[in-house]
Amino acid sequence: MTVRVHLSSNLRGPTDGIADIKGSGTTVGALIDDLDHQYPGLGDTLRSGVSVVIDGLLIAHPQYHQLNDGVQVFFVPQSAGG
Amino acid sequence: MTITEPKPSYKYVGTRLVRPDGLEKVTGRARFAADLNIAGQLHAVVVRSPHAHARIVSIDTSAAEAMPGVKSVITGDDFPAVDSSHRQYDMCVNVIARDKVFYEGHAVAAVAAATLKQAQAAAAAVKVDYEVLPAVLTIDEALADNAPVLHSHMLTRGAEPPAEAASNVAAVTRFSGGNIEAGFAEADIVIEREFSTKPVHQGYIEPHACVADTGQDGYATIWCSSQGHFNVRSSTATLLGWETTRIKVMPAEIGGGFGGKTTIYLEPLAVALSSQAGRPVKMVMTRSEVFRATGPSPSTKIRVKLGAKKDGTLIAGDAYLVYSNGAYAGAGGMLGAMTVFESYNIANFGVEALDVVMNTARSAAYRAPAAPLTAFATETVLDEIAEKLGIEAMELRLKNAVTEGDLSTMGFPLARIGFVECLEAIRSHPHFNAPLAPNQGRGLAAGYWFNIGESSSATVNLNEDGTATVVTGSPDIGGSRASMALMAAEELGIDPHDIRPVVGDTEAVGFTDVTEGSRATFATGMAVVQACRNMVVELRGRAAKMMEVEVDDINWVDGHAVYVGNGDSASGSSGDSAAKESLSLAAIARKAKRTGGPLTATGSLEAHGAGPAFAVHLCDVEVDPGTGVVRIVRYTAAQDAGTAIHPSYVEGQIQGGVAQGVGWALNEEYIYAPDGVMENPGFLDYRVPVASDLPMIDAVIVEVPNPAHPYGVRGVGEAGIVPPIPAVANAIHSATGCRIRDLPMSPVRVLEAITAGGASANGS
Repeated sequence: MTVRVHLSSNLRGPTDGIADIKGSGTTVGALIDDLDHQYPGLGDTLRSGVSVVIDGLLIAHPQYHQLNDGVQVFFVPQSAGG
Repeated sequence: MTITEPKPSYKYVGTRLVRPDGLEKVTGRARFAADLNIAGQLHAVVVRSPHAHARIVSIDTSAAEAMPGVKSVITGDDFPAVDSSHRQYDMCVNVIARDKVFYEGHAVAAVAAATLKQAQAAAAAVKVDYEVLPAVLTIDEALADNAPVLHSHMLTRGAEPPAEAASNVAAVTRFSGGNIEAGFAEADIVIEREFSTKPVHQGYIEPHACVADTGQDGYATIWCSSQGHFNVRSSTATLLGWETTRIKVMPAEIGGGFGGKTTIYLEPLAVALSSQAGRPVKMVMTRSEVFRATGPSPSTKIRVKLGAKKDGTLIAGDAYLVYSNGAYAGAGGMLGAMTVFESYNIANFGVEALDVVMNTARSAAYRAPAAPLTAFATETVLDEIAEKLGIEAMELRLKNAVTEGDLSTMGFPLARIGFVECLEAIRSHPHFNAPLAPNQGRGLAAGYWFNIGESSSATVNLNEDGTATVVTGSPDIGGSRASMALMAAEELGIDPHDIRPVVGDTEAVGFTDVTEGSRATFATGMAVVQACRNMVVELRGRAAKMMEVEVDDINWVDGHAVYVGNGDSASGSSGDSAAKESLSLAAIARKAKRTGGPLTATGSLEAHGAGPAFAVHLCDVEVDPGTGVVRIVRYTAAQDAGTAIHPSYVEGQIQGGVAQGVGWALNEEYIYAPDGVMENPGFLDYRVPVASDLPMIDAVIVEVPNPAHPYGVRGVGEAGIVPPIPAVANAIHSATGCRIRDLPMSPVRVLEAITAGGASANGS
């Protein structure tokens, strides 16, 4: 399935600054694999220290998170706390 | 005072249960890590570097080993070698130095002896030969072209083009949106200011302490206080090169953490000493050690530039942030970049943040790490814009505040948030329009923090009398036991006094991440709810057996299994659907042996959907124009808790955040001598606010439920420390006309600004 992807501005190096792209996969991990094929190097950028926001939910470790039709996946830096 | 929007009616959630740990703590019976003693234990002392930067040429422990009572001495050589590419390299070499020391107080060896005095004497006899290296003690020195490079492996992450040479810049982070040049060109007013801040300590009263006992079987038990005992276990295992299962960590009560106990310092040393000596080993840091060797906040240099239209609409923002994380890489700059403009809609923005290293203690998290400092910059520049445009500070914030659906700095639409509700709560508070006396001023500021989810586990055991034990893996730092009991009571339908909330050790409950990011009540609460709901499924099944009906005909209502079928199969109901049967939880628990065995249920999850928290503070100060002394005379703090599970604890978190933030604003700073030695490592010279320094802080709980949590929880532990610094700074300006942009705003600095006629310490 194809989903819409938004990259936060600090993650756009491999896309030459493009923020909104598309990719396919049934999980976030598979989606990252597909994005890496399209934009070499983006996989490394998205596999470490990056969370996603899907349907308003912040997901810190999304690799195996299932994707549904029509969702938009926002890749954002991982936050922390004290 | 609590302001709520319509929400479900709860029986127990939102009540003020007497805290389960209260009696033990107020009577002095609660056992903190330093209170534990084991028969035959040794006492251990750490040998620390007197130099801020040096190469370790040699360590001679022979004299120490020969001293009376000494049972073991260890150095970095007693631990497995660790490569700089290792995921936890920084933690490993911070706990005990290998070839170099990177700050004054860095651990180089440890000694265990029969008595503390013997250990201290032996530690003094350890001979360390250092080759002293030039120390980097300020951000400017770290960034200088000819700066000594601390770590030869440190290539700047995020650099474009990729870094090829090592430097003191660990990482660079850039965020942008819109067209920043066009944005500033459209602005009717542009204000750009620079800020500087010093490291401050979390200031927990309880020092780091632990007891470790390594048995002849090679398994170790550690008693310690921390913000996450599973992390103590895994980090200690990593440093020792052990399998995780060889270590059991027992959580002691914790006397404050505030982020500073999310990492470890002593435990691997204690285990190694105990392993070598064959005896339990106790370690307790002195206050001086706590200051010199454990996590202060980063120091910073920040430049913020904001542009606005005449009507107050923010249209452009630019920020340059430098965070020093001490001796090793940290995430201060990244987190600063993620927070500096997050509270407001600014169509055109750019942020560049650097994380740098220097020869001071490795920084650790401190409540909402990085955010209080970016708020200091953004909120005071906003205040200046409001003043110059003739718009009320409150109106400017309301006009630009982010709401549900607005885009985060990181590009995603924000879920339901309560920023505007917090602003309105302050605006409608009697404090907002109360008159001020001479030399008094009022400051307004807002703050934001993400909050996080992560992994949590819980186990619920029903006892044969119908009471329950709820076991979680989150240390109780801010009242989590009471909150867990209240959520469990709501789910099970029994009185919270019949629930015993317990913090389980690493072998008594499933893995649970560190308590940080205000996650315990949110994420561990979700695990408790999940465990209770699993328990209710089991209880309905047991009740169905007892009633001889189908489980689908059983509902769980207010602590009872209620038969809601048509009565055909209900034992003794004679087919009358109106004669519903009901069994209490206690009745089901009493028959557990006959219906399938003990009643236990677990919940383990990775919590998604942490809800961002906003806080808005209003501060009145009185400034003595002759001395520069600032006194806080009134303080009101509103914060969106989502849902306040236990309102007293929420208020306490808000008040604690304010107290620490006021200390950060007015008094606290690490003072270093030119050689990098900390000059004020004690509470006499490093002054935290005490009760007499503060008025009663009016905590206003705003409840805009987080839709991702079964009870709407957001987490409240951190947002309260974000606004105080700018709130105090804006209040000082209101009272004196002086804008102070360097922390702390000490009497000397305030007096200098007043004497200079209202000019800021770094230019107005």
